[in-house]
Amino acid sequence: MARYVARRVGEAVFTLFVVSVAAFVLLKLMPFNLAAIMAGPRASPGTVAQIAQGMGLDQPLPIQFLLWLHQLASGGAALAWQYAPPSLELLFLGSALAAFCAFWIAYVQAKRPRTLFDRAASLITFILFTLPSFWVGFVLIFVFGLQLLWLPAVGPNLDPSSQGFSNWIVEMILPVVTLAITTIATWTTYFRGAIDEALRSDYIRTARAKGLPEDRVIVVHVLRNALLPAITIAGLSLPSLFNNVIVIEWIFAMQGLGSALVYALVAFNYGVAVDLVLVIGAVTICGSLVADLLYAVADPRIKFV
Amino acid sequence: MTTHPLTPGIDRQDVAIRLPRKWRRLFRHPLFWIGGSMLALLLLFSFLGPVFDKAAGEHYDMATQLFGPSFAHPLGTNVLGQDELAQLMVGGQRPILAGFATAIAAAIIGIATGLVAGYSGSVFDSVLMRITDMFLSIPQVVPILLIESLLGASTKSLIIVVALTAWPAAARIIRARTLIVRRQPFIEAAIACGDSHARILVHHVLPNLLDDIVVASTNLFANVVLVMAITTFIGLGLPPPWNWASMFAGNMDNIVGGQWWVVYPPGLAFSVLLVSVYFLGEAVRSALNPQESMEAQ
Repeated sequence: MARYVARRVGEAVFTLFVVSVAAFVLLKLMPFNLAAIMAGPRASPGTVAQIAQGMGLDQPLPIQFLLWLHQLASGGAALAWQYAPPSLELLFLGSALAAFCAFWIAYVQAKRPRTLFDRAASLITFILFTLPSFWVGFVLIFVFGLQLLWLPAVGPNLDPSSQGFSNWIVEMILPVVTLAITTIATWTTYFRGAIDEALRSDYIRTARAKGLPEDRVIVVHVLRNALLPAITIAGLSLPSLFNNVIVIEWIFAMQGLGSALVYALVAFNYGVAVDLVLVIGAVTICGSLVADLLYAVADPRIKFV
Repeated sequence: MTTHPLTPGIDRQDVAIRLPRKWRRLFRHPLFWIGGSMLALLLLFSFLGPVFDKAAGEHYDMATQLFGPSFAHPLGTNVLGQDELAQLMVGGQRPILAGFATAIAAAIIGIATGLVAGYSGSVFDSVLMRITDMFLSIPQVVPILLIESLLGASTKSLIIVVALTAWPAAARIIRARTLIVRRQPFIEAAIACGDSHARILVHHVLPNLLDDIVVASTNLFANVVLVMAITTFIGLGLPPPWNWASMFAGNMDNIVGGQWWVVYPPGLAFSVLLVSVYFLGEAVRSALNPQESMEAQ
């Protein structure tokens, strides 16, 4: 077990290192002079050279890479990390809602296969999966925010009117539902397989045979065993969930990692953008790592080496 | 009319023109007809529709901003007074073409990598799988946005970048299945017969993976179309002129409520495209491998 943990942590650190090198090299490959952009269109060549020197752009690439790491360690990463809480909240609540709905849909489907509910639920979750996330988000804004006026059209942000827990909850509803809708079909499929397997297994028959009430069978035996693969699925789908987090933050005007990255890129502020890329990479890589380790702890049947 | 001596009564020509069983299974599958007709209609809509009036989508008129559906504008007009229906027709062309091109490119890379990794085993396999793990551990949109912003968005660079970030999902599926097929007795027999590895891969392994390749490719198609839509919506994907994602983005900021005709059609168009391709994929998969037919859907 200790060896497994050490190996997985080592892999995660190495992946993060490769991501940082890749982001850095991409930044250096770009076809224009960062110092010239920072200096503005009317700056003299002397000023540009001065700025380039100040940013360390005249150093060889490996030194520039180390300078960048130093800048990250001495505050750059912490600055970028300020944008993490809204993204993590959205990610966590969205996956929790998706997992909850997916479990119950999959459970009813597995209990009553080939019924109208089974087919209708499969078709509807599948169609939801084929809709672009930004469109789903905007349709929710359009219907609940602009037409029915039930919910705010923007997510939680730094606006003074948006402070306080009750405001936060209300403003979080639409972004969270949007994220859940985009992922519910995939998770329902996985849950369905896991629940099917659990329902057919001997321990469920034993549990029923010894007279356990049905809801206890479901919660204690089916749910627990179906949740095991769900941990892995959640870890694996984290990066693809984050694709949607980026665009959902953008539509709902939330100040998260994704919208910050988009703002930085649209403004050609690559210094901030690479820091954000690295923080986003760290979030998803650590998420997958935590999922893997949780799985190793949760399932005693598997011996990792 | 010649009849075969051993099977009297059966016309020889009649037997000869019967389609192979897989094709018959495909043509009997309801999803083949549903998905096929949906896709055909969508292609006609996008590529044949605009032929009748080439300039209809471009003509703008400030006097008809955000007008509701009428006889002149069946789907209303957008924020610049352009005809929404004409825009929707032309706006489908590049998402569809770029989607297919990218999915094919990504599928080729992913299938080749998965096949080679799963078949060769050993160090080569671990290295290739480490690389796919790395790709799969960061959100795909992030490198695409970064690179498109650096290069300046163009259709060609978007196709390349999206294909280069999309293939690992397919590689994993194909590798897992290759590992299973590789252990089958007929592979051993082929090796014993002295077949080369390339021949074994193409003639023995690949035909047994066709259904997985179809599933992996349809999933890739959905992935690349949606990822391209996201990046285009943000403004760093397909460049102008408009397409389904960008026309939606352009109208979004100017909607104050009620203008459903500029809200619903672009997103539903994406859904029709993906649903039809999934249905076709499922029909082909089930014709290739009828045992594991997916229910519902």
